[in-house]
Amino acid sequence: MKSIFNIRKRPAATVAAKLGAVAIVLVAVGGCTGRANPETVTIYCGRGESLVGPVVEAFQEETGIQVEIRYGGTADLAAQILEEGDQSPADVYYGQDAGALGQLAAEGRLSPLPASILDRVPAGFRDPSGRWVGTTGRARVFVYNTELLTPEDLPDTIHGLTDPRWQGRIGWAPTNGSFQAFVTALRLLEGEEAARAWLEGVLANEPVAYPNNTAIYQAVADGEVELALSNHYYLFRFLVQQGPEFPARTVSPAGGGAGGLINISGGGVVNTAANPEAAERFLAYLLTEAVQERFARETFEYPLVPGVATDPAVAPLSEINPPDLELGNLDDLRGTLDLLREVGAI
Amino acid sequence: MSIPALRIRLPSRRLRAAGILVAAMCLLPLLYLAGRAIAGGGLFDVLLRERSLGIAGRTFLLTAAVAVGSAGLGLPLAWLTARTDLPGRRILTGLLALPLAVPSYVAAFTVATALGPRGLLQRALEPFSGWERLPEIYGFPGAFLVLILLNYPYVYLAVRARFAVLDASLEDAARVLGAGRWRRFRRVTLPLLSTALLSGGLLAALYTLSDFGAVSLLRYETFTWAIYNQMRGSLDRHTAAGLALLLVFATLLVLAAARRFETASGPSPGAAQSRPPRVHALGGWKWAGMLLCFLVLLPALVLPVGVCLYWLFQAPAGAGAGLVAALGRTGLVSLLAAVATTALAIPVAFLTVRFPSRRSSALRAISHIGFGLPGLVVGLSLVFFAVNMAPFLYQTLALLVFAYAVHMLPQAIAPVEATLGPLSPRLDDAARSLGARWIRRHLRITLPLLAPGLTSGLALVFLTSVKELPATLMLAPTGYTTLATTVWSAAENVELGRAAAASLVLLVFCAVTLLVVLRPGRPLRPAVR
Repeated sequence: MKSIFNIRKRPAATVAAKLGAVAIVLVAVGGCTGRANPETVTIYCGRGESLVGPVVEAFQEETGIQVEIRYGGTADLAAQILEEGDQSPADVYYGQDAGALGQLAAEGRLSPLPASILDRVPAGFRDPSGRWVGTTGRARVFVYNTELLTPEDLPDTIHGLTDPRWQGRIGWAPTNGSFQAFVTALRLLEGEEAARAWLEGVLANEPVAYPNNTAIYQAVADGEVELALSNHYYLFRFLVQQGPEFPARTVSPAGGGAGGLINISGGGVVNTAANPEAAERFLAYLLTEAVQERFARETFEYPLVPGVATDPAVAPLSEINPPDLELGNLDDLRGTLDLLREVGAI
Repeated sequence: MSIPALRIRLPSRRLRAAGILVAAMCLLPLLYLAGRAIAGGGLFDVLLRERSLGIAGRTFLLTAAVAVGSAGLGLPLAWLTARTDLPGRRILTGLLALPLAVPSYVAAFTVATALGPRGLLQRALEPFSGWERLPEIYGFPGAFLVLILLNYPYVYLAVRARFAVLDASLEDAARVLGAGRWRRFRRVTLPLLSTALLSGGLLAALYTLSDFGAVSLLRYETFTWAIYNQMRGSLDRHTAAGLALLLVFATLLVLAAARRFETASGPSPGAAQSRPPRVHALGGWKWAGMLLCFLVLLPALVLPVGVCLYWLFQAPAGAGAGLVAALGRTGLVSLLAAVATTALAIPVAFLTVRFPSRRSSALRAISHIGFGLPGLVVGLSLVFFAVNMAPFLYQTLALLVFAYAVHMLPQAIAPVEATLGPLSPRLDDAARSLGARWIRRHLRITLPLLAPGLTSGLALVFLTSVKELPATLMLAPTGYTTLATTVWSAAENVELGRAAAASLVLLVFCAVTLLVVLRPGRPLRPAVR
């Protein structure tokens, strides 16, 4: 770099002029891309590219609709749509948390979907007002270290975690969206006071707080904690990467309740969509049997369209004892955050 | 910083216009936050919460500790590589700056994996010691450790640049007058280095204010973590904006504190290097020096690279697909950001160094706000302004470069100020009196004289642009995946092999860039004097 500025070797003027010219051309080129044409649908996607990318390519081939897709965090993209307001380029919001979908719907940013899309999934997995639809299900589970515990050691319900024998042995992710949705479910099912008592009981056992579910599985496998609360499908992603000797397994709490909650990934059509028909076609495509099978196979999530089989490695939905609860009612996240703050969990 | 006679000079109209432009640009996040926090009542909520006090206390403790710790680590490392006969100093010079390019979430994750209560170190030690758990790394100790390891290069690079132009004759004079080693260092060298220590420490402090990766993975609740929780937990942009306004306030406090130290230590004397500095023979101490470098590089560089290599070997085939294209896109946007940001830093440095006044201090403060804010907040504020005021720019490369500039400007301002400080404006006057026009004077005289500062500024902005994530995800053109976004999306999907491959490409890319920029045999200094 020094020589660039050394006037004896090269006139700085020439170099600066060249750099400037290159920069202007590049910026101009950048500025000309990304304009939408009418046959395009723009998707804000809070799910991974390796998973959604191939599905999007197949969609483009089958329908001829051009897809512009922006990947990001589920919550970050929802915040971005709220900030973009009426000018949002997004047609579809596709994320992995019912809470974010509920927030967007509550702020009036999602359009009602036609019955042909909504009716593809059972009533519990879509917005009661029809503004978003679930595409796959994800179960809450206990994750345990197989070298330190056996399935018989595990409590029947999440209430077993308040037993002093778990002192210093458990982990959770109190800042994670899935955990917070579970606490919201607990508040709805058992009431505010019971939820508070449960949180305080677990906190008395000094749980280790992790930032996300990947960290939880890693910590359980490392034996940093013996038992933790998480989502079911991460296990299979670790097994694919690390082989069957990965020393962690999952169990859905036999006693059910909020601990057996099934949350969703899902999508909706943004109210300012330039191309709502194409947006709806994309959501409908996610609910075709072929795509549902693909998700079941690759993400180990639960397909929501009746008749599509769950991956054989995953405990079937029939073995899970989910609470009787509509996911659309899980939108009081603010109340959950206040409670988590009051008890000192976050 | 100024010579009294210069005070009567006024900045040219052109310079003032440039200053106003930079200020307007850097005020965008603040305007956005003020609108959100005050309209939505977020500021009120936040100020009334008892909890905010604890967050503020932790934020200040960590920020101050990291600033001091980075200075304590950066100074000896700079001295060892610039002024001694340490073996391998050519390679070490580049390697020691490299932690700057390690994303904080990568460093935090590997440090937690290695030094956690039941991490790699515990498992290695257990057979000999019988320890079942190591002391808790989570909380302050872990966050502090990771952040000083990532931030000492700010001090290290600033001090190295200062060493390169330091007048060795002052030290020689002290020696002739009979001052011992320690006394020479404390009374002569250290005061000459104080500006560099301060500017490096300031960057480390502001980076700490804005960091999310280390504090979230190592669980130490600061303002930035609280902002992310509000934003991600409940999409509560109003409370998040209230917290972010407090962060702006914290940035201004840090700047004010830095200024106070600056006045206390006084202006540094002229720095034109009249003769090459003496190289200290370390003798038996060279082992201690090498041990220090090793102890720093082990957790900051060797460990992340080792963990990445471990995952890479377990990766399925095809984990590296598309990385070359991502590398090209990363290089392009980071280069543009480095050039644009450094260009914008020049007028700010001129105004603050040559024309000190209330207005130029205000400009300096405003231009630092963006660096103290987390990338998520800077990104969202530019989403808001671009969509409403310049929709044709939204999600273009130009807007992304603009966002990087708003976020990273202080990293370019600091080295340019440091180089400009000791330069006399008389050369420019002489050229003017000889009839040289504005453009010619600046291209032939100012820029070459500023070369060392410009080069450091370019390098710092480049390295931090390469790892930037939240603003990139929001503002890059659709489909413009960079190495950082690839690491992120692969890690989200538990594709650890792919995340590792992308991280390694990122680190090697930065290492090569640094080796080009920092050639130890040829200290960077003005080409003409």
